[in-house]
Amino acid sequence: MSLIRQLSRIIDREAYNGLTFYVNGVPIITVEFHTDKEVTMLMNDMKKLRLFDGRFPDDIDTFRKKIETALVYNGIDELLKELKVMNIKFYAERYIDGEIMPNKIVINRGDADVDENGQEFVLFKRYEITGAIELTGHTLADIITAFAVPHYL
Amino acid sequence: MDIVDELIRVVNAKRYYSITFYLNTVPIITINFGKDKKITVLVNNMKEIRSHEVEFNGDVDTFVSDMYNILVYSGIDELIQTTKDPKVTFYSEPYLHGTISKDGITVELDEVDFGDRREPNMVHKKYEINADVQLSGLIIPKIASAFAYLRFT
Repeated sequence: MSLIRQLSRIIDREAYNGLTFYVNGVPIITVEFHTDKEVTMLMNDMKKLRLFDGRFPDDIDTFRKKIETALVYNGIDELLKELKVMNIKFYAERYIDGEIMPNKIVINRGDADVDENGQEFVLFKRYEITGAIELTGHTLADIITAFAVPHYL
Repeated sequence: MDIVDELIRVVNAKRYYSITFYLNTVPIITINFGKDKKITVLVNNMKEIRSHEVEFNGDVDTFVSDMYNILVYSGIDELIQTTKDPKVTFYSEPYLHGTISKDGITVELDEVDFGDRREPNMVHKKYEINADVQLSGLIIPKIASAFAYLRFT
């Protein structure tokens, strides 16, 4: 099963409006999913901050390629190689966080619920995906695509 | 003469299309001077990366105020003030480096001069602007306004 499909099963139909990736505690990518299928991707290649505006083209593969190209073109792919990154974290409001490691992704997903006294609580579930996972722009493009799908398809 | 006027006198060139500010070597703000006096401000508050737009109508004070509001709203002002031993630097292509300290601003730039036989020589210039500078989000809009003024007037 592809990484996008495995992630889609975890994310379910929940639409997260924004998603941020971190390397060593520093945000390197923030993706914002807007209405009208517009996507804004803000990137930090540790030299400057960059902006990419795109549209979801109704086709998952085309979108994934567009995102990967933007990550390569804006120096994010090179940054990950240069820093020999072994761990990338990501976070989306509310509430999902994950950690990408070589050949593994760990995801904690919180579902808000209400108890019998009417008090809101968050129930966290932990998921693990194992497979041939590299810490490159390719994997980040897969994850961004998986988060875009519930918004636009 | 205030710090903006001093900077305009020192930089004195229309060629800077963007400027990036760093906090302890991490890019926290990139300002892109676009066409029609439109300015994109990308900010990294160490939690996420955000994008804002501002216009330069020729009035430095209004621009400084608009920019400062963005930096306060997006958490940059607080980030600078809560960072231990903050070192704020800035860079603009081609070849302009600056350092902000409590005693003032140092600007270093490389310029090409032509000799008697029209041979190009790279000249490194260093300027020190002495002033009582408070290291907060307010000094950044002041510096940015000098670049905006040079670019658009």
